[in-house]
Amino acid sequence: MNRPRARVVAAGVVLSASLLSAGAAAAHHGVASLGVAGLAGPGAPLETSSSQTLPRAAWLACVKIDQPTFEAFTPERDGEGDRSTFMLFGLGYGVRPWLSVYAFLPFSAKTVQDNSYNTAGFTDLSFVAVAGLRWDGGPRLVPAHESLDDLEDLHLTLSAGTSLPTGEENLRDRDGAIDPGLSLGFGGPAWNCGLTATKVLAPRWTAVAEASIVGFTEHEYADGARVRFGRETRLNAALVARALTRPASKLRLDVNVESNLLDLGRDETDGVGETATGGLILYGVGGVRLTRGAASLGLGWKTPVWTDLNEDALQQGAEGKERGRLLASLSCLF
Amino acid sequence: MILGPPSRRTCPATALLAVTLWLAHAPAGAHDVFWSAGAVADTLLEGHLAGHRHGDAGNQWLEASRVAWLATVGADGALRVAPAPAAAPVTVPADGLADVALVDWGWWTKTADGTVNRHPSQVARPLQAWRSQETVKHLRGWSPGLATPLGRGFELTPLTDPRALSPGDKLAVLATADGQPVAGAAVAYGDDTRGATGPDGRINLRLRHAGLQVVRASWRRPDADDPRHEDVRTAVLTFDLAAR
Repeated sequence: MNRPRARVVAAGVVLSASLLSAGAAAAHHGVASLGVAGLAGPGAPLETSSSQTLPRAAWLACVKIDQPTFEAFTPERDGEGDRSTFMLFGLGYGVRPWLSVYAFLPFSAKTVQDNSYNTAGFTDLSFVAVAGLRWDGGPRLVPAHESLDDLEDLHLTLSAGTSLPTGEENLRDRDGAIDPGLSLGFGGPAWNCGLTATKVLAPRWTAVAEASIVGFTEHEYADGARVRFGRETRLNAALVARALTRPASKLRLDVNVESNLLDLGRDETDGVGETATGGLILYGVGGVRLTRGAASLGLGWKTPVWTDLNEDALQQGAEGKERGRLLASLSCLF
Repeated sequence: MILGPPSRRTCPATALLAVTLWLAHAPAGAHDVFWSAGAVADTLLEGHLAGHRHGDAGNQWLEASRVAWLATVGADGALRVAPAPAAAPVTVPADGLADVALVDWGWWTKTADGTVNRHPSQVARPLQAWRSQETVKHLRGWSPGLATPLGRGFELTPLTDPRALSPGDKLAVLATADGQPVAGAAVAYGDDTRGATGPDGRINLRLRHAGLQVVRASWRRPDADDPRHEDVRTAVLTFDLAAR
Protein backbone atom coordinates (compact mmCIF):
# COMPACT_ATOMS: atom_id res chain seq x y z
CA MET A 1 0.00 0.00 0.00
CA ASN A 2 1.16 3.44 -0.80
CA ARG A 3 2.08 5.07 2.45
CA PRO A 4 1.00 8.68 2.71
CA ARG A 5 3.64 11.18 3.44
CA ALA A 6 2.44 12.05 6.86
CA ARG A 7 4.40 15.07 7.89
CA VAL A 8 6.05 13.87 10.98
CA VAL A 9 8.58 16.60 11.23
CA ALA A 10 6.46 19.29 9.72
CA ALA A 11 4.01 18.69 12.48
CA GLY A 12 6.74 19.59 14.88
CA VAL A 13 7.43 22.86 13.16
CA VAL A 14 3.79 23.76 13.21
CA LEU A 15 3.41 22.76 16.79
CA SER A 16 6.04 25.25 17.62
CA ALA A 17 3.73 27.97 16.47
CA SER A 18 0.82 26.72 18.44
CA LEU A 19 2.89 26.52 21.56
CA LEU A 20 3.34 30.24 21.42
CA SER A 21 -0.24 30.53 22.42
CA ALA A 22 0.23 28.05 25.20
CA GLY A 23 2.92 30.19 26.64
CA ALA A 24 1.16 33.42 26.08
CA ALA A 25 -1.50 32.55 28.57
CA ALA A 26 1.08 32.79 31.26
CA ALA A 27 3.07 35.65 29.87
CA HIS A 28 1.01 38.81 29.94
CA HIS A 29 3.74 41.36 29.83
CA GLY A 30 5.09 42.12 33.19
CA VAL A 31 1.93 42.78 35.10
CA ALA A 32 1.84 39.18 36.16
CA SER A 33 2.98 40.25 39.59
CA LEU A 34 -0.42 41.73 40.11
CA GLY A 35 -2.10 38.71 38.71
CA VAL A 36 -4.62 40.98 37.07
CA ALA A 37 -3.69 40.56 33.44
CA GLY A 38 -3.19 36.86 33.81
CA LEU A 39 -6.63 36.55 35.29
CA ALA A 40 -8.51 39.04 33.19
CA GLY A 41 -6.37 39.61 30.10
CA PRO A 42 -6.75 38.10 26.66
CA GLY A 43 -7.29 34.39 26.41
CA ALA A 44 -5.06 32.03 24.44
CA PRO A 45 -6.34 29.22 22.21
CA LEU A 46 -4.81 25.78 21.93
CA GLU A 47 -3.81 25.52 18.28
CA THR A 48 -4.05 29.06 17.01
CA SER A 49 -1.10 31.15 18.04
CA SER A 50 -2.01 34.20 20.04
CA SER A 51 -0.21 37.53 19.78
CA GLN A 52 1.58 37.86 23.06
CA THR A 53 5.27 37.98 23.57
CA LEU A 54 7.18 36.99 26.67
CA PRO A 55 8.16 39.54 29.29
CA ARG A 56 11.74 40.69 28.98
CA ALA A 57 14.23 38.28 30.54
CA ALA A 58 11.49 35.76 31.29
CA TRP A 59 11.77 32.10 30.37
CA LEU A 60 9.01 29.88 29.19
CA ALA A 61 9.19 26.12 29.37
CA CYS A 62 6.53 24.18 27.57
CA VAL A 63 5.57 20.80 26.32
CA LYS A 64 2.80 19.92 23.94
CA ILE A 65 1.36 16.57 23.02
CA ASP A 66 -0.59 15.93 19.84
CA GLN A 67 -1.89 12.41 19.51
CA PRO A 68 -3.82 11.58 16.35
CA THR A 69 -5.53 8.29 15.67
CA PHE A 70 -6.34 7.44 12.09
CA GLU A 71 -9.21 5.87 10.27
CA ALA A 72 -8.40 2.41 8.92
CA PHE A 73 -9.45 1.73 5.35
CA THR A 74 -9.14 -2.05 5.59
CA PRO A 75 -10.20 -4.49 8.30
CA GLU A 76 -6.88 -6.31 8.25
CA ARG A 77 -3.97 -5.38 10.46
CA ASP A 78 -1.64 -4.27 7.71
CA GLY A 79 0.63 -1.37 7.07
CA GLU A 80 -1.99 1.30 7.61
CA GLY A 81 -1.13 4.16 9.86
CA ASP A 82 -2.64 3.56 13.25
CA ARG A 83 -1.71 6.31 15.62
CA SER A 84 1.01 8.85 16.21
CA THR A 85 2.31 10.78 19.14
CA PHE A 86 3.94 14.13 18.55
CA MET A 87 5.54 15.85 21.46
CA LEU A 88 7.12 19.22 21.44
CA PHE A 89 9.51 20.45 24.07
CA GLY A 90 10.04 24.16 23.97
CA LEU A 91 12.02 26.84 25.69
CA GLY A 92 11.32 30.51 25.15
CA TYR A 93 13.04 33.69 26.25
CA GLY A 94 11.96 37.29 26.22
CA VAL A 95 14.81 39.18 24.56
CA ARG A 96 12.79 42.38 24.55
CA PRO A 97 9.22 42.98 25.59
CA TRP A 98 8.38 42.88 21.90
CA LEU A 99 10.77 40.13 20.86
CA SER A 100 10.72 36.53 22.00
CA VAL A 101 12.79 33.64 20.78
CA TYR A 102 11.97 29.98 21.09
CA ALA A 103 13.75 26.69 20.57
CA PHE A 104 11.71 23.57 20.02
CA LEU A 105 12.69 19.96 20.03
CA PRO A 106 9.95 17.73 18.62
CA PHE A 107 9.57 14.07 19.37
CA SER A 108 7.63 11.84 17.03
CA ALA A 109 6.34 8.30 17.35
CA LYS A 110 4.40 6.76 14.50
CA THR A 111 2.87 3.34 14.53
CA VAL A 112 1.42 1.28 11.75
CA GLN A 113 -1.02 -1.52 12.42
CA ASP A 114 1.34 -4.41 11.69
CA ASN A 115 4.29 -2.66 13.31
CA SER A 116 6.25 -3.07 10.08
CA TYR A 117 7.50 0.48 10.04
CA ASN A 118 7.20 2.13 13.42
CA THR A 119 9.40 5.10 13.99
CA ALA A 120 10.10 7.07 17.12
CA GLY A 121 12.63 9.64 18.14
CA PHE A 122 13.51 13.28 18.31
CA THR A 123 13.13 15.13 15.08
CA ASP A 124 14.52 18.38 13.73
CA LEU A 125 15.35 21.13 16.20
CA SER A 126 13.66 24.39 15.30
CA PHE A 127 13.95 28.03 16.24
CA VAL A 128 11.38 30.78 16.02
CA ALA A 129 11.63 34.51 16.63
CA VAL A 130 8.43 36.42 17.38
CA ALA A 131 8.06 40.19 17.19
CA GLY A 132 5.03 41.74 18.87
CA LEU A 133 3.17 44.89 17.89
CA ARG A 134 0.25 46.71 19.38
CA TRP A 135 -2.13 48.85 17.38
CA ASP A 136 -2.58 51.97 19.51
CA GLY A 137 -3.37 54.70 17.02
CA GLY A 138 -0.83 52.98 14.80
CA PRO A 139 1.57 50.06 15.04
CA ARG A 140 3.88 50.21 18.04
CA LEU A 141 6.29 47.73 19.49
CA VAL A 142 4.88 45.98 22.53
CA PRO A 143 6.15 47.86 25.60
CA ALA A 144 7.40 46.35 28.82
CA HIS A 145 4.25 47.15 30.72
CA GLU A 146 0.73 47.01 29.47
CA SER A 147 -2.44 47.61 31.39
CA LEU A 148 -5.51 45.51 30.83
CA ASP A 149 -6.76 48.35 28.68
CA ASP A 150 -3.62 48.16 26.58
CA LEU A 151 -4.02 44.43 26.29
CA GLU A 152 -7.49 45.00 24.88
CA ASP A 153 -5.97 46.75 21.88
CA LEU A 154 -5.33 44.82 18.71
CA HIS A 155 -2.06 42.94 19.09
CA LEU A 156 -0.09 41.49 16.23
CA THR A 157 2.93 39.26 15.92
CA LEU A 158 5.24 38.48 13.08
CA SER A 159 7.23 35.32 13.38
CA ALA A 160 9.94 33.63 11.40
CA GLY A 161 11.94 30.54 12.05
CA THR A 162 13.84 27.64 10.71
CA SER A 163 14.68 24.09 11.59
CA LEU A 164 17.98 22.32 11.59
CA PRO A 165 18.30 18.78 10.22
CA THR A 166 19.10 17.15 13.55
CA GLY A 167 16.67 14.25 13.14
CA GLU A 168 17.47 11.00 11.35
CA GLU A 169 15.94 11.21 7.91
CA ASN A 170 17.12 7.87 6.54
CA LEU A 171 15.21 5.44 8.72
CA ARG A 172 14.47 2.22 6.90
CA ASP A 173 11.74 -0.35 7.22
CA ARG A 174 12.19 -4.13 7.48
CA ASP A 175 12.89 -4.28 3.79
CA GLY A 176 15.46 -1.53 3.89
CA ALA A 177 13.24 1.03 2.18
CA ILE A 178 13.16 4.65 3.20
CA ASP A 179 9.87 6.46 3.54
CA PRO A 180 10.63 10.14 3.99
CA GLY A 181 7.17 10.68 5.36
CA LEU A 182 7.87 8.39 8.25
CA SER A 183 11.43 9.48 8.92
CA LEU A 184 12.45 11.66 11.82
CA GLY A 185 13.99 14.48 9.88
CA PHE A 186 13.84 16.35 6.63
CA GLY A 187 17.54 16.21 6.02
CA GLY A 188 17.54 19.93 5.37
CA PRO A 189 16.18 23.09 6.93
CA ALA A 190 12.53 23.97 6.81
CA TRP A 191 11.48 27.58 7.19
CA ASN A 192 8.36 29.08 8.61
CA CYS A 193 6.81 32.48 8.98
CA GLY A 194 3.55 33.66 10.41
CA LEU A 195 1.29 36.50 11.35
CA THR A 196 -1.16 36.58 14.23
CA ALA A 197 -3.77 39.05 15.40
CA THR A 198 -5.48 39.08 18.79
CA LYS A 199 -8.30 41.33 19.89
CA VAL A 200 -10.27 41.39 23.08
CA LEU A 201 -13.87 41.70 21.95
CA ALA A 202 -15.39 42.01 25.40
CA PRO A 203 -14.00 41.54 28.89
CA ARG A 204 -14.43 37.78 28.69
CA TRP A 205 -14.08 37.24 24.96
CA THR A 206 -10.95 37.14 22.84
CA ALA A 207 -10.68 36.58 19.09
CA VAL A 208 -7.46 35.30 17.57
CA ALA A 209 -6.46 34.82 13.94
CA GLU A 210 -3.31 33.37 12.48
CA ALA A 211 -1.79 32.79 9.07
CA SER A 212 1.41 30.81 8.69
CA ILE A 213 3.48 29.03 6.10
CA VAL A 214 5.99 26.24 6.45
CA GLY A 215 8.27 25.59 3.49
CA PHE A 216 10.71 22.78 2.86
CA THR A 217 13.92 22.39 0.96
CA GLU A 218 14.58 19.51 -1.35
CA HIS A 219 16.70 16.77 0.14
CA GLU A 220 18.36 13.74 -1.34
CA TYR A 221 17.86 10.67 0.83
CA ALA A 222 20.28 7.79 1.18
CA ASP A 223 18.40 5.82 -1.44
CA GLY A 224 18.95 8.57 -3.97
CA ALA A 225 15.43 9.94 -3.97
CA ARG A 226 15.22 13.70 -3.99
CA VAL A 227 12.18 14.74 -2.04
CA ARG A 228 10.61 18.10 -1.38
CA PHE A 229 7.63 18.16 0.90
CA GLY A 230 4.77 20.37 -0.15
CA ARG A 231 4.35 23.76 1.46
CA GLU A 232 1.99 23.96 4.40
CA THR A 233 -0.26 26.98 4.71
CA ARG A 234 -2.46 27.52 7.72
CA LEU A 235 -5.30 29.91 8.35
CA ASN A 236 -6.55 29.65 11.89
CA ALA A 237 -9.24 31.46 13.80
CA ALA A 238 -10.24 31.07 17.42
CA LEU A 239 -12.68 32.43 19.92
CA VAL A 240 -11.76 32.18 23.57
CA ALA A 241 -14.17 32.73 26.44
CA ARG A 242 -13.01 33.24 30.00
CA ALA A 243 -15.37 30.97 31.84
CA LEU A 244 -14.08 31.12 35.37
CA THR A 245 -11.83 33.38 37.39
CA ARG A 246 -10.72 32.81 40.97
CA PRO A 247 -8.46 35.71 41.97
CA ALA A 248 -7.72 34.32 45.42
CA SER A 249 -6.17 31.20 43.95
CA LYS A 250 -4.89 32.97 40.81
CA LEU A 251 -6.88 30.53 38.76
CA ARG A 252 -8.54 31.00 35.44
CA LEU A 253 -10.38 28.70 33.09
CA ASP A 254 -10.91 29.44 29.40
CA VAL A 255 -13.00 27.61 26.87
CA ASN A 256 -12.14 27.91 23.21
CA VAL A 257 -13.35 26.89 19.80
CA GLU A 258 -11.17 27.07 16.73
CA SER A 259 -11.18 26.46 13.03
CA ASN A 260 -7.86 25.47 11.50
CA LEU A 261 -7.60 25.44 7.74
CA LEU A 262 -4.58 23.54 6.49
CA ASP A 263 -3.49 23.63 2.88
CA LEU A 264 -0.90 20.95 2.19
CA GLY A 265 1.03 21.18 -1.01
CA ARG A 266 1.75 18.07 -2.99
CA ASP A 267 5.05 16.44 -2.17
CA GLU A 268 7.55 15.95 -4.96
CA THR A 269 10.02 13.16 -5.54
CA ASP A 270 12.67 13.75 -8.16
CA GLY A 271 10.64 16.70 -9.35
CA VAL A 272 7.45 14.73 -9.85
CA GLY A 273 4.35 15.21 -7.75
CA GLU A 274 3.62 12.35 -5.40
CA THR A 275 0.29 10.65 -5.55
CA ALA A 276 -1.84 10.72 -2.43
CA THR A 277 -0.22 13.74 -0.89
CA GLY A 278 -1.55 17.18 -0.18
CA GLY A 279 -4.97 18.72 -0.06
CA LEU A 280 -7.16 20.96 2.01
CA ILE A 281 -8.31 20.16 5.50
CA LEU A 282 -10.54 22.16 7.79
CA TYR A 283 -10.20 21.13 11.40
CA GLY A 284 -12.48 22.01 14.24
CA VAL A 285 -10.97 22.32 17.69
CA GLY A 286 -12.62 22.51 21.05
CA GLY A 287 -10.72 22.81 24.27
CA VAL A 288 -10.17 24.27 27.67
CA ARG A 289 -7.23 26.00 29.23
CA LEU A 290 -6.62 26.13 32.94
CA THR A 291 -4.19 28.76 34.13
CA ARG A 292 -2.95 28.95 37.68
CA GLY A 293 -0.34 31.54 38.44
CA ALA A 294 2.38 31.25 35.85
CA ALA A 295 1.45 27.74 34.73
CA SER A 296 -1.05 26.87 32.07
CA LEU A 297 -2.56 23.54 31.07
CA GLY A 298 -4.50 23.15 27.85
CA LEU A 299 -6.59 20.19 26.76
CA GLY A 300 -8.48 19.81 23.53
CA TRP A 301 -9.79 17.67 20.73
CA LYS A 302 -9.14 18.39 17.10
CA THR A 303 -10.95 16.70 14.28
CA PRO A 304 -11.27 17.21 10.54
CA VAL A 305 -14.68 18.60 9.66
CA TRP A 306 -14.12 19.01 5.93
CA THR A 307 -11.44 17.77 3.57
CA ASP A 308 -10.51 18.02 -0.06
CA LEU A 309 -7.51 15.74 -0.31
CA ASN A 310 -5.64 14.78 -3.43
CA GLU A 311 -6.42 11.16 -4.22
CA ASP A 312 -8.47 11.10 -1.07
CA ALA A 313 -9.01 7.34 -1.05
CA LEU A 314 -5.28 6.70 -0.90
CA GLN A 315 -4.38 9.02 1.95
CA GLN A 316 -4.89 6.70 4.87
CA GLY A 317 -2.78 7.77 7.81
CA ALA A 318 -2.28 11.32 6.57
CA GLU A 319 -3.55 14.64 7.80
CA GLY A 320 -7.24 14.86 7.17
CA LYS A 321 -7.75 11.17 7.79
CA GLU A 322 -7.63 11.31 11.53
CA ARG A 323 -10.46 10.21 13.71
CA GLY A 324 -9.25 13.03 15.86
CA ARG A 325 -6.30 14.46 17.67
CA LEU A 326 -5.97 14.70 21.40
CA LEU A 327 -4.16 17.90 22.29
CA ALA A 328 -2.50 18.70 25.56
CA SER A 329 -0.09 21.45 26.44
CA LEU A 330 1.62 22.55 29.60
CA SER A 331 3.64 25.70 29.93
CA CYS A 332 5.26 27.57 32.75
CA LEU A 333 6.73 31.04 32.86
CA PHE A 334 9.63 31.69 35.17
CA MET B 1 -23.79 73.42 43.82
CA ILE B 2 -23.33 74.21 47.48
CA LEU B 3 -23.64 71.42 49.96
CA GLY B 4 -25.71 71.89 53.02
CA PRO B 5 -24.46 71.86 56.57
CA PRO B 6 -22.71 68.74 57.81
CA SER B 7 -25.73 67.56 59.67
CA ARG B 8 -27.36 66.84 56.34
CA ARG B 9 -24.46 64.68 55.34
CA THR B 10 -25.52 64.39 51.77
CA CYS B 11 -23.51 64.47 48.61
CA PRO B 12 -25.48 64.57 45.38
CA ALA B 13 -23.92 62.58 42.59
CA THR B 14 -23.61 65.61 40.41
CA ALA B 15 -21.70 67.42 43.09
CA LEU B 16 -18.98 64.85 43.46
CA LEU B 17 -15.58 66.05 42.59
CA ALA B 18 -13.08 63.70 44.05
CA VAL B 19 -13.10 60.44 45.84
CA THR B 20 -10.51 58.25 47.43
CA LEU B 21 -10.72 54.78 48.74
CA TRP B 22 -10.02 54.52 52.40
CA LEU B 23 -8.26 51.25 51.88
CA ALA B 24 -5.85 50.88 54.67
CA HIS B 25 -7.48 52.00 57.81
CA ALA B 26 -11.16 51.32 57.69
CA PRO B 27 -11.89 48.25 59.76
CA ALA B 28 -15.57 48.37 58.92
CA GLY B 29 -15.03 48.67 55.18
CA ALA B 30 -13.77 51.05 52.59
CA HIS B 31 -14.54 54.74 52.96
CA ASP B 32 -14.10 57.41 50.38
CA VAL B 33 -12.65 60.85 50.74
CA PHE B 34 -13.81 63.18 48.05
CA TRP B 35 -14.21 66.73 47.02
CA SER B 36 -17.74 67.98 46.82
CA ALA B 37 -18.26 70.84 44.41
CA GLY B 38 -19.90 74.06 45.29
CA ALA B 39 -20.58 77.31 43.52
CA VAL B 40 -18.28 79.18 45.85
CA ALA B 41 -16.18 76.52 47.53
CA ASP B 42 -15.36 72.85 47.18
CA THR B 43 -15.57 70.78 50.36
CA LEU B 44 -13.61 67.72 51.39
CA LEU B 45 -15.97 64.98 52.55
CA GLU B 46 -15.55 61.54 53.99
CA GLY B 47 -18.01 58.76 53.46
CA HIS B 48 -19.32 56.93 50.47
CA LEU B 49 -19.35 58.02 46.91
CA ALA B 50 -22.88 58.96 45.93
CA GLY B 51 -24.33 56.74 43.31
CA HIS B 52 -22.33 53.83 44.63
CA ARG B 53 -23.81 50.95 46.50
CA HIS B 54 -23.96 52.84 49.76
CA GLY B 55 -25.99 55.65 48.29
CA ASP B 56 -25.37 59.23 49.17
CA ALA B 57 -26.13 59.04 52.85
CA GLY B 58 -23.56 59.03 55.56
CA ASN B 59 -21.05 61.50 54.16
CA GLN B 60 -19.52 63.97 56.53
CA TRP B 61 -16.91 66.64 56.65
CA LEU B 62 -13.42 65.30 56.81
CA GLU B 63 -11.67 66.15 60.06
CA ALA B 64 -9.40 69.11 59.47
CA SER B 65 -6.63 67.49 61.49
CA ARG B 66 -6.33 64.79 58.84
CA VAL B 67 -5.38 67.23 56.12
CA ALA B 68 -1.63 67.55 55.83
CA TRP B 69 -1.53 69.70 52.73
CA LEU B 70 -4.10 71.58 50.75
CA ALA B 71 -3.75 73.35 47.44
CA THR B 72 -5.49 74.45 44.31
CA VAL B 73 -4.28 75.17 40.83
CA GLY B 74 -5.65 78.52 39.82
CA ALA B 75 -7.17 79.50 36.53
CA ASP B 76 -3.78 80.93 35.62
CA GLY B 77 -2.16 77.55 36.19
CA ALA B 78 -0.34 78.66 39.33
CA LEU B 79 -0.23 76.44 42.40
CA ARG B 80 -1.83 78.02 45.43
CA VAL B 81 -1.09 76.32 48.70
CA ALA B 82 -3.83 76.90 51.19
CA PRO B 83 -3.16 77.33 54.90
CA ALA B 84 -3.65 74.28 57.08
CA PRO B 85 -7.33 74.12 57.93
CA ALA B 86 -8.16 74.74 61.56
CA ALA B 87 -11.55 73.13 61.57
CA ALA B 88 -14.02 71.34 59.39
CA PRO B 89 -15.30 71.87 56.83
CA VAL B 90 -12.15 71.82 54.77
CA THR B 91 -12.80 73.95 51.73
CA VAL B 92 -11.00 75.60 48.86
CA PRO B 93 -12.31 78.27 46.52
CA ALA B 94 -14.20 76.85 43.59
CA ASP B 95 -12.48 79.02 41.03
CA GLY B 96 -9.44 76.90 40.22
CA LEU B 97 -8.54 74.23 37.71
CA ALA B 98 -7.76 71.57 40.30
CA ASP B 99 -8.24 70.81 43.98
CA VAL B 100 -5.67 68.77 45.85
CA ALA B 101 -5.53 67.46 49.40
CA LEU B 102 -2.96 65.26 51.08
CA VAL B 103 -4.70 63.33 53.83
CA ASP B 104 -2.60 61.75 56.56
CA TRP B 105 -4.42 58.99 58.39
CA GLY B 106 -1.46 58.38 60.64
CA TRP B 107 -0.46 55.00 62.01
CA TRP B 108 -2.77 52.04 62.17
CA THR B 109 -1.93 49.01 64.21
CA LYS B 110 -3.62 45.67 64.12
CA THR B 111 -3.95 43.91 67.47
CA ALA B 112 -5.72 40.85 68.75
CA ASP B 113 -8.53 43.15 69.85
CA GLY B 114 -8.87 44.99 66.56
CA THR B 115 -7.22 47.75 64.56
CA VAL B 116 -6.44 51.03 66.30
CA ASN B 117 -5.33 54.38 64.92
CA ARG B 118 -2.08 54.49 66.92
CA HIS B 119 1.62 53.89 66.35
CA PRO B 120 2.62 50.29 67.17
CA SER B 121 4.91 51.57 69.90
CA GLN B 122 1.80 52.81 71.68
CA VAL B 123 0.08 49.46 71.53
CA ALA B 124 0.61 46.32 73.55
CA ARG B 125 1.39 43.31 71.40
CA PRO B 126 0.97 44.83 67.94
CA LEU B 127 0.48 42.34 65.16
CA GLN B 128 0.90 44.52 62.11
CA ALA B 129 1.20 48.23 61.51
CA TRP B 130 1.16 50.67 58.67
CA ARG B 131 1.12 54.37 58.02
CA SER B 132 -1.53 55.55 55.64
CA GLN B 133 -1.57 58.64 53.46
CA GLU B 134 -3.62 59.51 50.45
CA THR B 135 -3.80 62.26 47.93
CA VAL B 136 -7.10 63.40 46.48
CA LYS B 137 -6.96 65.38 43.28
CA HIS B 138 -9.85 66.62 41.22
CA LEU B 139 -9.60 68.40 37.89
CA ARG B 140 -12.16 71.09 37.14
CA GLY B 141 -10.28 72.45 34.17
CA TRP B 142 -6.99 72.13 32.40
CA SER B 143 -3.73 73.87 31.81
CA PRO B 144 -0.55 72.28 30.43
CA GLY B 145 1.03 72.51 33.86
CA LEU B 146 -1.43 69.95 35.18
CA ALA B 147 0.39 67.32 33.11
CA THR B 148 3.26 67.71 35.57
CA PRO B 149 3.07 66.31 39.11
CA LEU B 150 2.60 68.85 41.85
CA GLY B 151 5.33 66.99 43.68
CA ARG B 152 3.65 66.43 47.01
CA GLY B 153 2.95 62.91 48.26
CA PHE B 154 1.79 59.98 46.18
CA GLU B 155 -0.01 61.47 43.26
CA LEU B 156 -1.75 60.64 39.99
CA THR B 157 -1.24 63.00 37.09
CA PRO B 158 -2.93 62.80 33.68
CA LEU B 159 -0.44 63.37 30.91
CA THR B 160 -2.97 64.95 28.60
CA ASP B 161 -6.17 66.90 29.10
CA PRO B 162 -8.57 64.13 30.03
CA ARG B 163 -11.61 66.30 29.50
CA ALA B 164 -10.78 66.44 25.81
CA LEU B 165 -11.19 62.69 25.51
CA SER B 166 -14.30 60.66 24.76
CA PRO B 167 -15.54 57.39 26.18
CA GLY B 168 -13.44 54.67 24.59
CA ASP B 169 -10.30 56.78 24.45
CA LYS B 170 -7.23 55.94 26.49
CA LEU B 171 -5.65 58.23 29.01
CA ALA B 172 -2.02 58.00 30.10
CA VAL B 173 -1.62 58.55 33.82
CA LEU B 174 1.59 59.05 35.78
CA ALA B 175 2.02 57.89 39.38
CA THR B 176 4.63 59.74 41.40
CA ALA B 177 5.80 60.02 44.97
CA ASP B 178 7.06 63.50 45.75
CA GLY B 179 7.41 64.00 42.03
CA GLN B 180 9.36 60.81 41.29
CA PRO B 181 7.82 58.06 39.15
CA VAL B 182 6.52 55.07 41.07
CA ALA B 183 6.72 51.64 39.45
CA GLY B 184 4.44 48.81 40.38
CA ALA B 185 1.58 50.83 41.83
CA ALA B 186 -1.76 49.08 41.35
CA VAL B 187 -4.17 51.27 39.44
CA ALA B 188 -7.93 50.95 39.19
CA TYR B 189 -10.45 52.67 36.99
CA GLY B 190 -13.65 52.86 38.95
CA ASP B 191 -13.76 49.59 40.82
CA ASP B 192 -11.69 47.59 38.33
CA THR B 193 -7.97 47.14 38.76
CA ARG B 194 -6.45 47.65 35.34
CA GLY B 195 -2.81 46.92 35.96
CA ALA B 196 0.37 48.31 37.46
CA THR B 197 2.47 51.29 36.59
CA GLY B 198 5.60 50.61 34.60
CA PRO B 199 9.16 51.64 35.48
CA ASP B 200 8.35 55.11 34.20
CA GLY B 201 5.37 55.34 36.54
CA ARG B 202 2.92 55.34 33.66
CA ILE B 203 -0.16 53.35 32.86
CA ASN B 204 -2.77 53.67 30.13
CA LEU B 205 -6.44 53.51 31.05
CA ARG B 206 -9.45 53.36 28.80
CA LEU B 207 -12.24 55.75 29.75
CA ARG B 208 -15.41 53.76 29.46
CA HIS B 209 -18.24 56.11 30.23
CA ALA B 210 -19.15 59.75 30.47
CA GLY B 211 -19.59 61.50 33.77
CA LEU B 212 -17.43 61.31 36.84
CA GLN B 213 -14.17 59.43 36.25
CA VAL B 214 -12.42 57.91 39.24
CA VAL B 215 -8.85 56.61 38.96
CA ARG B 216 -7.28 55.12 42.07
CA ALA B 217 -3.75 53.95 42.73
CA SER B 218 -2.29 52.16 45.71
CA TRP B 219 1.32 51.60 46.60
CA ARG B 220 2.87 49.82 49.52
CA ARG B 221 6.46 49.78 50.64
CA PRO B 222 8.35 49.03 53.85
CA ASP B 223 8.34 51.94 56.23
CA ALA B 224 11.55 53.93 55.95
CA ASP B 225 12.15 54.00 59.71
CA ASP B 226 11.00 50.50 60.57
CA PRO B 227 10.86 48.04 57.68
CA ARG B 228 8.73 45.71 59.79
CA HIS B 229 5.91 48.12 59.13
CA GLU B 230 4.43 49.41 55.92
CA ASP B 231 4.02 52.75 54.31
CA VAL B 232 0.72 52.63 52.45
CA ARG B 233 -0.10 55.34 49.96
CA THR B 234 -3.18 55.84 47.90
CA ALA B 235 -3.90 58.44 45.28
CA VAL B 236 -7.09 59.38 43.55
CA LEU B 237 -7.65 61.38 40.42
CA THR B 238 -11.12 62.46 39.39
CA PHE B 239 -12.56 64.53 36.61
CA ASP B 240 -15.73 64.79 34.61
CA LEU B 241 -15.95 63.48 31.09
CA ALA B 242 -18.57 64.90 28.80
CA ALA B 243 -20.68 62.62 26.65
CA ARG B 244 -19.94 63.20 22.96
